[in-house]
Amino acid sequence: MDSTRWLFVFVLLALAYLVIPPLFFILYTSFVEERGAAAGTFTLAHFANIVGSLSEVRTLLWNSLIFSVGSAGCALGVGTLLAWLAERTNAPFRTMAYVSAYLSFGIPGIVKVIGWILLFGPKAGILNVAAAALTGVFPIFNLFSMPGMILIEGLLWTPVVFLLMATPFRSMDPSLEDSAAVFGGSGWQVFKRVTLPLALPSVLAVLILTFVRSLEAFEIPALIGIPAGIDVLTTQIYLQIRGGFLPKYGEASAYSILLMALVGLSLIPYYRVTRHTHKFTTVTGKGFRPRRIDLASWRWLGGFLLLLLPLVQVLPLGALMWASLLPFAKQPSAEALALLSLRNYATAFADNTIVGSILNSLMVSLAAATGTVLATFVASWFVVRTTIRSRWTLDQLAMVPLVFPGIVMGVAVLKMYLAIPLPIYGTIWIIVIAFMARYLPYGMRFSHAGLLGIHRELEESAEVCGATRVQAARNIVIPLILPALFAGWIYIFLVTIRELSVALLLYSPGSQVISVTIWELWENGHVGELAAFSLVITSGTVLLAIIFQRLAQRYSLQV
Amino acid sequence: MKKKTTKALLWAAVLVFLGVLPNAWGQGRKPTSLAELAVYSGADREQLLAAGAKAEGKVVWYTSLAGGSFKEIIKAFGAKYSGITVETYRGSSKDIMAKVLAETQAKRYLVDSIESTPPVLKAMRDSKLLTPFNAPYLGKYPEQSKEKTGKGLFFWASARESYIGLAYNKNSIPPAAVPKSYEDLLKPELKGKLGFATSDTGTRVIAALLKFKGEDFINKLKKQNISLFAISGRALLDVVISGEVGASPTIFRNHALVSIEQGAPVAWAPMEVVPTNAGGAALAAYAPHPHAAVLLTDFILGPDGQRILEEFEYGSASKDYGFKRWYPEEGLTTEQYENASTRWDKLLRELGRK
Repeated sequence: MDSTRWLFVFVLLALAYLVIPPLFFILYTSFVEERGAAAGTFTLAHFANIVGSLSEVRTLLWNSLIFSVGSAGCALGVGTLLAWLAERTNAPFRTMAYVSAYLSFGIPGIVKVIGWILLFGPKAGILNVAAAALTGVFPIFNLFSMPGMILIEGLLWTPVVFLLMATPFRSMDPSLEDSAAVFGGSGWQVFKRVTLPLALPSVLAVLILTFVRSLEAFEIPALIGIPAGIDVLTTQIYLQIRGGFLPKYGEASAYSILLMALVGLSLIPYYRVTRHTHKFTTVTGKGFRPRRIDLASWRWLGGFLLLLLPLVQVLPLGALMWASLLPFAKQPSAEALALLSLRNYATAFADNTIVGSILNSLMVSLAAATGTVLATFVASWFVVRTTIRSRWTLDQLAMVPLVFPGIVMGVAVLKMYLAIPLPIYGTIWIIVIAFMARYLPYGMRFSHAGLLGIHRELEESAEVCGATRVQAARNIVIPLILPALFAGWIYIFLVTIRELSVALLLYSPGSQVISVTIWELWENGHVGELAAFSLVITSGTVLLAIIFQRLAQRYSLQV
Repeated sequence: MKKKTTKALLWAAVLVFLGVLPNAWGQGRKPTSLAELAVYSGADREQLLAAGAKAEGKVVWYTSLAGGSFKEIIKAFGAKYSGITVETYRGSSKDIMAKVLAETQAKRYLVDSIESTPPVLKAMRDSKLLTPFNAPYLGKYPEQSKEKTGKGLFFWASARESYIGLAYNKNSIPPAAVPKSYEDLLKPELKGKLGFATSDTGTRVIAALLKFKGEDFINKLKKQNISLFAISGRALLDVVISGEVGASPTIFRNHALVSIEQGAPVAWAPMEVVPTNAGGAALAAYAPHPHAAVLLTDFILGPDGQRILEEFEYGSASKDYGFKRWYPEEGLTTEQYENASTRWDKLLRELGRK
């Protein structure tokens, strides 16, 4: 067997190790007795327990679906409208909308959610209290409700939808719309018959994507859903482990399988839709600039709407800024102004655990991003460039984690390392491995796309000149694909540094990462320190997001 | 040449060993293992532990203390014994239970010293996860606050007591509506204004409601539109202070008193029974840093730690505060407590469900 084959086997085993055992342990845990004399024997009791309270399962499924459909709909509606305004109209503030959409990648979800709670808590939220003084209605918006959850989750996804939808709007050939107009179509008819069908595949793909992401969401269901009395599947899994006197891994795994099935089923239509996108290709060799519609006097309304994107990033951060300067929660007032100080910053950064969590997060994300990008680069090189018959297995293996929501990956990896004698439980490496497994599909997507863009001819010339395949890959492919890999690296770095749900069940003292530190501070009621810490962290991650945006723009990469 | 040097070194080592040995015997053997250290009663206990702990460099502490108290303990411990890092995991007793069980299963023993409620400590005792200990200062502790092993040693000693009662925001709840008993929680003025913590603090209040008022009462309480918060009782107090929740019967007296001293607009009142959390300090069976483990446990139960806990208004088993205490786990085995706890949790979740 030549070195290429050996490398192939090695990568295959590495991917299999990351993906298959967690899957196995989730299944295994859901089917065996946990404690007592019968421990380790086969049982259907965990499933029977969850099905036994049928009304409970029905409520959970119903809540999860309403939340996900609502959030996806909300994000899609707002995001698409804003993308259309930015790309196809002459509304102002386009650049601001773009910049803030990219920068939103840098702000950890948990930080935004806490900011929104400080703003719209139904009885003491800063904006609710302020609005009551103006309108006499109190609360003007109750965040602790299903609409509250949907709105905040929707807003969290709006920048992503905005960026994803801007591309088809930008690349749509206006001559198709023009032809329709020439044949007498009214504005609405052109939109309905031409624009909409052209955008439909993208719309559907984005809709399903945000739906799945909302199904997997944890921060909002935990921080807003639980106080609102609205449980969804992800919080139920967490509560099975941390909500009772003894952890119920069996039930947690049974719920996990239910959630994975739901995610898996939703991904089927996603692949159906995205597989046929080439049929709707509207970018051709023709040079054109999409026509911008003149909104005339409505232009400023469009501009105002585009300003919503930066506004929804800045508002929660503003609330945190306020909280970070106060000794305890207080409405803005002259009296509160007298209390402002930087004491929370000093307290937060004098705490070893808090400072240690920054170092841990840097290490974890650095290792996870590097590991994932390396593994997926080699894997996609095999898929794209070789003719090894079983190369598709690599692609399929790397895609399996798509059905693992973060919290489920946490349970699976935890159970795995509690059972096998590899001593990584209690260290940061258990979190690194879980992150690598979870973000394999993303790494694969970046390197796959990067490799497709490099023509085989270049390597063939090298091979003609006597280079081996590995040499050609090293000297030609790697330098050319580096920007795409680097973008993938930063993307994984950024998502892992803010990821909470995977790490929440896996951390131990000494291996806390940033997101769990924020979670712990919230749980223990240290809101001032939390706000101070979050703002400093957000500044760092936003800086990274800026670098990411520059790279993405320079190499026209899709996120 | 090289061989000669090695031989000379070996001889030198043997001679040093022979010279040192009688000297060491003369002084009496010093304890080194965790079990020995935990019961050592020599006058140099503290020095011996401090020197050993410094060499170990760190100690891992799991605690259910919330608010500023545990940070203050870490700070004071660090000031007294420099060079020892305290790695802390603060969690509810449920969190600590899950963590300890996971570590046992993975055979990765991380924790040195534990401070939590009796149900966790009992479960750990039953699974042989605690090291019995004794120390000179324990003589001053009342008998009922120590869990005896039967051989003059203890599994844990109660470091503090926390009393769960009702805290309310004086700006949100008019004086006439302030509840004086559990029954008063049904007052129509309180509808939509009550919050419960989902941590074990909330669970234990449900236990009290179930025992003293019955399940029907809990069903009636549901109509009050209760909000649940997946945060500690301490964090929920902040929510009450902010006015987001008007009143909560799941607030610890000590946390409320500290906030009242700082000028927060809240008051605390005991209900007809006060569910009590006795926080015991114990030594883990497989503490990886034995000297530091004993040193920290001594520090918490000794005068320094007790002074800090008193400053933070924690209670003591030997004092009377004028209300009736109730310990939900009293008389229950671990298994019985687990079953009861599952039921209480379920009732609590249903209480908040919309």
